[in-house]
Parts: sequence; structure tokens; C-alpha cells
Amino acid sequence: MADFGILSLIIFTPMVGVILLLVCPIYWQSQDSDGANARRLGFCVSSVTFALSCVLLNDFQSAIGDYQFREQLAWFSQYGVYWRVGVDGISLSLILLTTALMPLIIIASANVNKQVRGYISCMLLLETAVLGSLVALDLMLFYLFWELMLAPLFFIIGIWGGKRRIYASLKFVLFTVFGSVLMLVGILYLVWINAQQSGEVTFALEQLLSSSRMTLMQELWLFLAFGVAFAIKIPIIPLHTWLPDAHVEAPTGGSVILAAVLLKVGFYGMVRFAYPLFPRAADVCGQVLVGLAVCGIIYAALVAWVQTDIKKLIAYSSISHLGFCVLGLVALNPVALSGALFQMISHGIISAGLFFLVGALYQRQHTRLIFNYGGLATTVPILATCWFLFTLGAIGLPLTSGFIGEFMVLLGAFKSELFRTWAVVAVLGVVLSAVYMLSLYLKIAFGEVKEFRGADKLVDLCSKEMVVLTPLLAALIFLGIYPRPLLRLLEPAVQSMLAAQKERFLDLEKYESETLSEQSSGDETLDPAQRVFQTASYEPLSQRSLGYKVNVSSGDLDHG
Amino acid sequence: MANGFLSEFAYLAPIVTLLFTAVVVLLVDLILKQRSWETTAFCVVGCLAALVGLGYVSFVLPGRGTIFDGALYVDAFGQFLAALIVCSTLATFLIMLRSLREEGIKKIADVSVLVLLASSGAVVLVQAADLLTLFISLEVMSLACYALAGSALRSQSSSEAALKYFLLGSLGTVFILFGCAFLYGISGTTQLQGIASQIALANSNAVYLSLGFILAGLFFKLGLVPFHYWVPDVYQGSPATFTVFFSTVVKAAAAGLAVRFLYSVFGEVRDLWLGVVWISVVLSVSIPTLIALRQRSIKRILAFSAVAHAGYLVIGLLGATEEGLGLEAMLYYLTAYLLAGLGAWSVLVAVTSSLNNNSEELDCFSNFQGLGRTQPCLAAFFSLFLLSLAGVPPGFAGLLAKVLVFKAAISAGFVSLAVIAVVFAVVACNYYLRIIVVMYFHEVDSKNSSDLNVPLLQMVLIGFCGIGVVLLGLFPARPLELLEMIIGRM
Repeated sequence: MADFGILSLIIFTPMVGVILLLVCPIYWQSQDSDGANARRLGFCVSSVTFALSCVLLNDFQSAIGDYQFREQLAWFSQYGVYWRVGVDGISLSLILLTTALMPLIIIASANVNKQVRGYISCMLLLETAVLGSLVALDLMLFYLFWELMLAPLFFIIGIWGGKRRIYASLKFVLFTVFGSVLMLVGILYLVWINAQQSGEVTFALEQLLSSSRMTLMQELWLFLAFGVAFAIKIPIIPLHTWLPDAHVEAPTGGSVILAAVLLKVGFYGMVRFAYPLFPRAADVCGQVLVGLAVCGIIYAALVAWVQTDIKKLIAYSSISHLGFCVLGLVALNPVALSGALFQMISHGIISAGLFFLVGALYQRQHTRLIFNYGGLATTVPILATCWFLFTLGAIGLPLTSGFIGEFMVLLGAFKSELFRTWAVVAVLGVVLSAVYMLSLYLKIAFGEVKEFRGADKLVDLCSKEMVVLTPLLAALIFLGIYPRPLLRLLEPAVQSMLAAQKERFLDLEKYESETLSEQSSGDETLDPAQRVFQTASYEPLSQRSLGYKVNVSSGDLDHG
Repeated sequence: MANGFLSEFAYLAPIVTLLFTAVVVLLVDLILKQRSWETTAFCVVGCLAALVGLGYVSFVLPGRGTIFDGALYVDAFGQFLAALIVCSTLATFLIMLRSLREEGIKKIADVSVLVLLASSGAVVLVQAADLLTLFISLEVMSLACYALAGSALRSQSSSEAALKYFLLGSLGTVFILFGCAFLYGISGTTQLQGIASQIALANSNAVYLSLGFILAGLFFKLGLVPFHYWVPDVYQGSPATFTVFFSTVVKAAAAGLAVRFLYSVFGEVRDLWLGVVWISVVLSVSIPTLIALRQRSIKRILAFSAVAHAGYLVIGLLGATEEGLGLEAMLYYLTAYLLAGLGAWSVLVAVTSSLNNNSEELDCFSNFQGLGRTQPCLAAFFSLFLLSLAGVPPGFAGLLAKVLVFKAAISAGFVSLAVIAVVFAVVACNYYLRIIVVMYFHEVDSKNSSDLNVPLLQMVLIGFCGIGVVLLGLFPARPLELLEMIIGRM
């Protein structure tokens, strides 16, 4: 167990970039009016971060499901808060996605023309926050990094955003803060429960997983506190209303990082914290969650269909696609969960690509309204081709990464009896995604050539934009044809997560039955009717745990 | 024992230094008229000397329980608060010079003396171990503050503030005095320790009465709902420099007073006051937060936020149990609040005092419009302070302070209180962020002068507070250890 290792290095490299950006201008002053130096510096720093995370991938032993590269340092240890970090396959895949996207976002920041230094600083700060929350194994640490994500994006939307940026940025912050402070209370309550039982105040995730015991009622409240925070971020309807506004008003880079990374951190929180810590509550709420997720898939798809703003359309498609992730999580078998995590990465790639393309269009035409576009396939063929490829990915066509994720989720969900119906309904979402994405493509790429009045001339993608899009396209197709490497990364982590969760589930059941029997034997004054009620409420619970007994062997993952 | 008695005077070093500075300033001003710069410099030196004296008392002199037959505590808790108070006084002097000139206050020496007197009163107050000392020091502090609130003689709002502060403040003091009288009646002694030992055995009706009056007085002084009405008017009407003083020094002293009364004296009968304080906290974090949403004056927003922060502060007192570490949380919260509050008010003073128009609304939003462009450094620090007050990173100290306070509340079983408090913390985010929105997201207002120059010392102070807000939150291990030690020795 290293004291200070590569993970800390990865987290703090962007932070160093921020400090450099704050300090360096003393020397630049005059010659950096267009922010070229700031962009260069930001690109270098984010590339170094990416290189470091590649080193991490290289040294990572993918066969192990447990956390690796652990670090533990006392922070304010009298309160049980440590600098505890570590990665497993799930977080590593997201780290790679984040660090790989950041240099691309900075390249694409060429259209940011005011306060470039501030923009790059905010992006790098955001990267630190995201990376930190992906590797934190201490709840307080996670919370701090989670909250740190707020301010940079608030500024990114508010300063460099569109017309309604103020409304959108405030809405984004208030929604997210609301969720996260409830999570804070949840964390503190959980730690308190654990401290009462084990006599030790600790925020360590693994220790809390192994030693905290609680009744179902407490578990439900805690799951709610954590779940709402993550559900707002993912977002699950009906908590999604901030997302379209934030997406539409954010600058291109902000939209990309929001769709590709930040939403995933919400889902990651579900997988890493809410589900393992509160397995029974997750089980009880499973049907509700999956209902919301599937409704979200259909609803968001239908809403996307009628949008007139391209960016808003893609924002709603994000909500729809993330519904599949939630479906895969709730089904809780290896295939579905791996699929959900795969879908997460895949959606990160696709949505990043689409938002980059929308940004490119907007930069040329200063409009995002669909009816202002037409015949792009003839005027800007390369752009139209890229768009088409990403559209195929978003639809989930085979040989793109979008297919693998959705297919695995649906397969896994279909295999578990409880969620079979929902899986069937969710398939409708795949069909709808084809409808709205293709009709969008039809409208803007084919038909009569339209040039929006008063706009710059529509030119095709420049080399810089190709540099941004090519890696994304390559990843889209590579993962679609050969998903094995990513799945191999995810699979052991998924297995060990599910195993640990099942164990904790049974453990908590045992605790509940013990406390119940203690109560009913020790407390003679308990009203018999009440006792019956308590046992009655307990019985169906153990039946619900049947959800776990649908066990799919890991061999099923080898369909790719 | 004459020798022992004399040696006790050494413990008065910080208080005597402050008073001595005040007297010298008065005398010197008789001879050399209106040397404002020199006067301020001398006061700053006096404060530094008082800090040194405090260090001498805390680290060099041997520790002992009380001095002067139980008139003053010599404990780490009092000394810590005294240090906060003296530092805040120092900060007040640092920002005073220029801003007072803009406010039209010419007699720097007079107000300096008042500040020093109030400060020394506050220092005695947080160390008072006897009802008499406590009451006298409270009056010394309060009377000086009333005068300070009205020191801008030409301004109507300043006079209004002074009158309001005086009337309502005296009422608060009278409540405390009446409560003290009952306490004396119950126990037959004026010493806090003696009272504390007898309170549990006493006639409960008398305890109820004394507790009720003292709580009312404390709520007045802390500015808790329902006795908060003076806060916004006084904070807005007084010269901004002295608002800095009220929101830091007076708040620290009132917090110390609350701990002495509720934790030390009424600690045995905790259950009697928990409910009332609980309700007051809930009201204090909710009502001012909702009112602040509709305010157009930034001073008023900060004033309402001061009421809410007093509420959060007192949550620590509610959670002052063995495992909750509530008092540590409270002191940490106080420190974080003082840093952020000092910083925010200093920026406010810097911005408003540079506007040379005579309109009353110097602190309205439009004067901050586009500050992010014209004054990037100042605006960045102001945002940092506001984020810290809101409890959002990178204002780490504010965030951690909230975390600790909520942790204390939950450990003491006040889960619902914690939930209510965090929900209103989110609502509060709204108005803090609105200020940031105006500074950064709106276009630059052309009528705003970009020639805003901040005095070097004031900028140093702002920078110090800014760094403190970040570092106190990022590296809380040592400060928390220190606080634990302080509370452990109480």
C-alpha cells in the first residue's frame, strides 16, 4: 500500500495546471491576448494526465476485481477521514474516458473567445474533481470532490454559455446541491450508525460495507438520501429538468464534459455507493427505479423526437440512453451491469462526438434550430459523414459501441424474471432512438440546401476538428467490433461488486431477523398485532431477494 | 498572598494592552489633532501587542483555573476566543482608514478608542467567570458598539442603526441581567462554577425563569430568530467598517457567552433548553434565508446570512455531547465564518468606499456588475468567501464547518434538524450565487469605475482570509486537534 502514488499524481496534475495558469500570466500579459498560451498549457497538462492514466492502465491487473493502487494517508484522522483512494475496473474505465476527453475538449476550445485562461482553469479543476470522486474510497473525500464539481461547471455555463446561461447555471447548481447536501446528511447518519455499533468513527467505504448494520427503515432513508443525489446527476426522471437547460446553454466543451463524464459520475455513485451500501433498500426500490428508468427511456425519446433545437434533442437522448444504464444496474446480474457500464463509456464517446459536432455547426451558423439546416451532406460532406457515424452509434447499430451496451443491458434485464417486462418495454426506446436520430439526420443532412441568413459561410470540418473527432470515431467503432478489452476490465470488478453486495444483503437480513427476534422475545409489552405486522413486513422481503438468485454465469459475457 | 495576588495581574496582559492603547490614543489625539494614519498605525501595534500578550498568557504563564477570586477564567477556550476577537479587531483597523474617510467620519481617534474598548470588553466577556464581570464586560462591549453604529453623524441610516441597536441591545442586556439576578437568587453566588453545581438541585421554576431570560438575552446578542430584527438594519445602516466589527467580534463574544451559559452553567439541565434552542435554530436558518432571497442590497443579504450562520453555529451547541464533538464543531464553524465574513465584508467595504457618489444604495447589485472583469482578483476572492459562506468548494472551510456541525447534530440525535438545516443551506446558495452571477455573468457596467484601488493592507487582509478559507478546510487536522484540546480543558 503506497503512501502517495500514481493515483494522487493523476488527480493533482490538472490541479497543478490550474495553479500554473493562475501564476504564469504574470509573464505572458501582453502576448497572450487570444489565450493561445493558456490553451497550449492546458493541452499539455491534460495530455500528461492522460499519459499517466495510460500508465495506470498498463500496470492495472485486470483479472483482479478488488481495488488496486490503494493509497491511505491520514487527513483529519480524529474524525475518521483519510485520503483513501483506489481503482477497480469500473473507475479505471471512467478515468480513461475523462482523461482522454479533456485534451480533446481543450483543442475544441478554439471557439471560446473570452477569458480563455479562466475557461481552461475551470475545465482542469473540473477534471481534478471528477477524477477525485472516481477514485475516492472514503465517503467524506468522495463528498468533497463531488461538491468540487459544482463550482467550475457553474462558471463554465454561466460565463461562456448561451443566452439563458444564468438561469441554466443557477438551476444546475441548485438541483445538484440539493441532492448532494441530502447525501451529506446520509453519509453522516451512516457513519453515526456505524460508530454506535462498532465504536469507531470512520468514513472508509470498505469498513462501512463490512461493519455497518441497520434496519430496513434506516436503510431505505439512507438509500433515498444517496439515491436522490445520484438520480439528479444521472438524471432519472422526474429529476432531469436541469439537464436540457444546462446542456443547451453550456458552451461546447461544457456540454461534452457534462454529458460524457459528469452524468456518469452520478451513475458511478449509484454503482459504487448507493447499491453496495444499501442492498436491501435497493432491492425494495428496484421496481420503482426501473419503472422510472424505463419511463425515462421512452419519455425522453418522445420528447427528443419533437425538439426543434439540435442540442436539446441530444440532451434528451442522453436522458434516454442513461435510462438503459439504470435498467442494467437494477437488474443486478453480471451481464446487465457490465452492459450498463459499457453503455456508460459508449454513451460518453457518442455524446461527446455529437456535442462536438453541434458545437462545430453552431460556430459556423450561429443557430441550433433544426429547420435552419438542410443538405449538409452536399455542402459539408465530412461533417455529415461523422454525424452519420455517431448517429449510428446513438441508435445502437451493430458494429458500433452503442449496440454492445444496449444489447447486454437488455439481455441481462430479460434474463431476470422480475425485470423481463420492463426490458421488453425498454426495447421500444431503442426503436424510438432510431426514429428521432434518423429523422434529425434526414432533416439536416439531406433535402434542400439551406444557408442560415447572416451567418458565416458553411465550411467543412477543419483539421483541428478532425483531430478531435477521429479518436472518438475510432473508439466508437473499435469498441463496437471488439468490446473484449473493455469488458475484461469491467467484468472482475462487476463480479466482486455483485458478490459483495449479495453478502451484505444476507448479512443485513440476518441482522434484521436477529433484532426482530430480540425485540419480540425481549419486549413482552409489544402489541401482538404489531408483532405480526412487523413479521409480515419482514416476510416478503426475503422473497424479494429472489432477485439475486437469478445468477448468470460469467461465461455469458462472451457473446461479443 | 499579596505576591500571588499581584502575579495574577500578569494574566491581564492582553486586556490591559488594549485599554492602555485606547487611553494613549485619546491622550495623543488631544495633542496631535487628527493624525488619522498615525492613530490607526498605533492601534494596529496595540492589537499586535495584545496578541503577543495573549500568547504570553496562554503559553508562558502557568495554567490555572480562575484568577481574582473567581472573576476571570484562564482557560484555553477563553483565550482562543480572545485571540479571534483581537485578530478581528486588528482586521477592522486594517480596513478602517480609507473607508472611514469615505463614510465621512473624520475623528478617527474617537472611533478607534471605541473599537478598542469594545474589543477589550469582548475579551473580558469570553473569559468572565463571574456574573458581575460578565455583565460589566458585556455592557462595555455593547455601549461602545452602539456608539460605533452611530458614528457616521451625517448619515440618517447610521443614526437609525445606532438607536435601534441601542434600544434593542439594551433590552437584550436587561434580559440577561434579569436572568443573572434569578441565578444569584437560586444559588447565592455570582460565580458561574458555583451556580452550575447548584442548578440541578434548585427549584425548577426559578431555573425556568432565569433560563428563559438568559436565552432571550443570548438570542438578542447572537441575533437569532425571533430576536434578530435589529441585525439587518444595524448591519446595513452602520458604517460598513463597523459592521465588519459587529459581525465578527461581537458574534465571537456572543458565541462565547452562549457556551459559558448554556454549556457550563445550564449544562446539567440540558433538556430544559434543547427544545427552545432547537426551534430557534430552525427558525434562524429558515426565515432569514427566505427573506434574503428578495433583498436588493448586498449588505442586507450578508446581514441576513449572518443570522442564518448564527443558527448554524448554535447547532454545534445542541450537539455538544461526548461523541458529537459539538463544541469543537462550533468553534471551527466560528473560525471559518470569521475568515469568510471578514473577507466578504472587507471586499464590500473596498467596493462601496471607492464609489464616490452619495446615493444611499452603494451596495446594490449594479455596483458589482462585471466586477469579475474590472477587478478579477477582488472578485475571485469575493466569490471564494461567498462560496465558503454557502458551503460549496473551493470554499472548503465553510463546507467542512457545515459538515462538522451537522455531524454533531446527527450524533446528538437531531437528524431532522440536520435535514432542515441542509435544505435551507441549499436555498441560501441561491442568494450567494446571485452575487457571483452579477459579478461574472453580467456584462461590465460602463458607469462602474475601473479605477477601484484597494489599499495594500486591506488587500493583504483579503488575501490572508482567502488563503485561510481554503487551507483551513483542506488541512483541518491540526486545527481540529487544537480545538479538541481547548474543549477538553474546559
